[in-house]
Amino acid sequence: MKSKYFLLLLFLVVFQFTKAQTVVNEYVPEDLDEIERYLKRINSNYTNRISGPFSSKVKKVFKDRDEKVLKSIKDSSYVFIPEIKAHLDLILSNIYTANPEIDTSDFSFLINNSMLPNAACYGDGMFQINLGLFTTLESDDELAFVICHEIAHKYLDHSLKNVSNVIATINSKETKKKVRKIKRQKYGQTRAALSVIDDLSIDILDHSKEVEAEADSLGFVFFSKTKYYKSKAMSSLSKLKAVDDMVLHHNVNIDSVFNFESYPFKKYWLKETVSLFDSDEKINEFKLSSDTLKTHPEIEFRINKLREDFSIKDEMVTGSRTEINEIKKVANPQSIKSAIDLKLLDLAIYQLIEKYQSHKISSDYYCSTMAKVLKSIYEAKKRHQLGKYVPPKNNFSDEKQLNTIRLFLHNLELNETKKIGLAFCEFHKDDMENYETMRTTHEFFKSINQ
Amino acid sequence: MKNILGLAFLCLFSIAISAQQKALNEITSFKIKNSGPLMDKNNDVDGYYFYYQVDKLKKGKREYAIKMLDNNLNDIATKSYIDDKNTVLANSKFNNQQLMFAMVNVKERQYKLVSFDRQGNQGKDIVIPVNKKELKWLSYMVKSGSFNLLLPVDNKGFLFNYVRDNKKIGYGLKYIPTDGGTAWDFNSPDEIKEIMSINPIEVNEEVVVAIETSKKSLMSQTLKFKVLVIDIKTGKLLFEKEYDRENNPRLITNAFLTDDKELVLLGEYFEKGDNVIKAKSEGIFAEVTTLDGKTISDSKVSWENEIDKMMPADSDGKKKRGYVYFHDIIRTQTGSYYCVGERFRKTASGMGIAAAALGGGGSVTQLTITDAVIFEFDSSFKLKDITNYKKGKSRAPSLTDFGSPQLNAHALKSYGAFDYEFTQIDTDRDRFYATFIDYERLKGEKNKLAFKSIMYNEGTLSEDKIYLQRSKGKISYRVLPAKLGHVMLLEYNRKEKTLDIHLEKLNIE
Repeated sequence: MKSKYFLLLLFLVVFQFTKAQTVVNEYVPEDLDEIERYLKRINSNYTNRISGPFSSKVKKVFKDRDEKVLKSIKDSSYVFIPEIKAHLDLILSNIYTANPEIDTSDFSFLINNSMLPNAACYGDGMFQINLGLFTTLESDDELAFVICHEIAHKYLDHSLKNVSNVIATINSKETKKKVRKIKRQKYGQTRAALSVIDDLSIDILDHSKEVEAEADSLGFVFFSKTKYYKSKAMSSLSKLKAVDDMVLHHNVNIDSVFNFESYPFKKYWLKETVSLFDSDEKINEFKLSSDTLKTHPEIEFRINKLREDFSIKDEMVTGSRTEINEIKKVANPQSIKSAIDLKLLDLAIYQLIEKYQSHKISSDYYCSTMAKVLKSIYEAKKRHQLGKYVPPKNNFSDEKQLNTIRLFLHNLELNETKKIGLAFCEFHKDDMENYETMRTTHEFFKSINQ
Repeated sequence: MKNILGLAFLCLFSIAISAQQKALNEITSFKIKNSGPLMDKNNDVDGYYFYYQVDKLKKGKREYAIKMLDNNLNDIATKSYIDDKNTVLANSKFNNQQLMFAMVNVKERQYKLVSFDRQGNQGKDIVIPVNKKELKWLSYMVKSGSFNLLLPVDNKGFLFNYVRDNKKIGYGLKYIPTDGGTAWDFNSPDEIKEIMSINPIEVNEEVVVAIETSKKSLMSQTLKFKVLVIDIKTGKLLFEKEYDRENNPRLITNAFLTDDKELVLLGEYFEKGDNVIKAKSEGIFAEVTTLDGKTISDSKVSWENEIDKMMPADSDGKKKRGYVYFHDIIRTQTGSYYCVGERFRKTASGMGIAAAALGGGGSVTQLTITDAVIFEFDSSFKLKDITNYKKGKSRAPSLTDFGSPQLNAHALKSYGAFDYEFTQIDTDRDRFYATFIDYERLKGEKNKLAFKSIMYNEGTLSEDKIYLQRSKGKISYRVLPAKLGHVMLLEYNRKEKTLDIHLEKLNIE
């Protein structure tokens, strides 16, 4: 299902891009060609310096990675919003000024439209900061630490070391010998091959703990030289720990959001079907040991290590740098817009409710956008396409809130969707009289409810 | 969605997997043997199974993987299963307590019933020895389409229906309890003189209703039907009722057990002496009996006196009834009945005539299948309405020019000549969904394949349609059964070689 979802995303973003060819928008920068040329150049500069065993294979990995990034830009996976970029540049400038030893000549930071609070270092100088970091973190200090952590990965050349290690492991004499032995086996080939894959995966993942801790340490050194509050490194990691447990943890109370006097919430909209197995986790008798290993070590471990190594004390910071709050005014609606543009209607509903209830977006924006999302849900159901955009509930997912929204959306029938749409518009019509979008959507629901 | 700080590792991991070189990838790819939905008696889908061969083992054994998806298409379990190399997964059902797989081993000649409890633990296998003749007959019966190999009894057990060699071919009905009840077998008598088979068509927590069919020889076209009502707790026959050619020929399509402990039998009735397979029926009947066999009512609605008067013209404007092939009869919670059928005519086949003129074989006649029809009856089985639903014409060459259209229709049904797919019944919400695949011939645009549903909800019928082919043809669609009121859509993009699978709700307006 994950790959299915990915393909869907891919399809949708390709579609978005095709549409965007004539109109330059937040997903397509005006200087697209220049960005492409720059990314290719830094990638080429980097790969030209790679040498040693299996260097051609290693170079290929980095070249492929670059191709993927370029494709993702074309597929509208990144946003190019001047206000957000300017803010990010300001933080980068502060970090660079405080750390002149870092060679930033080939650095490039792109903002991915994902709502997940995450960042990545691609190794060649390209970095990715998710929009979710701007909406989740509460100060520039916290964001600066995350960026320092990623820069540390680059400074320590973790990416190259890891890729080289993986390729060397896979192509080692030992692995080749094991593969040859398996091929000669008459019986039990598959299990034996799975075991080899498992060992290789464990070996690769085993390094992740020390690598992340190393990036935390050096990142903190970079961070501590800046003007940002040191203790915010801890709060940054703590916030990411909270989302690591459950990304979407706001209780959306869907049964009260869509409960109207004119059209009350129906209990059966949240009714579940009986599953074949009564199990909290997937039963898999072919599961590999490496499947249970996290790609990233527990954040708890990293927080404690950082605290011990640098004797960091929780400072009573009264005035953290909250310029990020201004950026949130742009980032929050953009995160919702990206979800709608990608037809991720479940995520759009979650964000609308969460951000409205947490006072991150205005009532006007909430009402007109929610009405628009309800219209999109109606249209997707009418075309028998909702399942393409909204995955069904998954009992094994930790995302309980998202699961509830998905269950609700899939249980809703077409005629119920149009009634909810109308009830929502009617309920908010007095406050929204002057909003053209809302009026248009209201008219739409009125016409289909006749 | 849970990886924090650094996609770099994700990238590395994917490299690790893809770079295991072709060798490891090829070795570790499971080879699919078969797959299918887990459907109950109302055609509600509880989930889906995929049966893979994983590894060759010593002594002719194989390791298989049975992957199960829930009815939301979530991957919920992959179980390892070791058996002989000739083991085939024939069917699978779920009864809310256990999941059961019917395995057939052609070489070792045995049926094996493999079960898993709700925690995914494998239960004790039930092995039933079988001979070559029995296996051949079972395969024939299953292919005929109207044979319930495995029937779940919700919250109680399973019924396994198989073929037994009783001098002539007979049957065995095995009940496997999952609630601590008693197991039983209900078999055809030893040394029978006729070919006999059984098909359980309705079951509840008290009784199982089965149709027993018998005929003198393989080629015989005269069938005898009996309705058997068996106590689910003991396997004892409570009553049987014969519908013989001489006195009371009937073709039973459906049976329902009501909350008032009554049995409702539905189908077509014939004139005394008529062969139900060949002859044109006299009309449709609903017979209500007690569970000990006493008839409470027997209502008949005749073609000539009642149906023809109400029969609407078909989409070509032809008023003449022609023939109607009934696929299913549904009894709603309000006691109304709905018969789902398709209209058909016997017509001359242009291709067949041309082939015959050139000295070729084959038939010169064909069945032309036209519109779908729904007959509505009230609770006392009085005909209330007949609704005609326009559908493109499908043509199927007659299997024989000399048989009756009915005989041909019965035979062609098992070849999938009709457009009807299945009917799902939602007893909780008192709805049904009758589904068809239609080839729409559209003026001014390319013809399209459409999945059509006729739905009953709150006393009214409505239609929904999903086109299965984009006009430009890059994406091809398939529809498979899904949980109640849904369909599974498979979209294959030929250009990009991608397959997108999603569930969609059927739209009731």
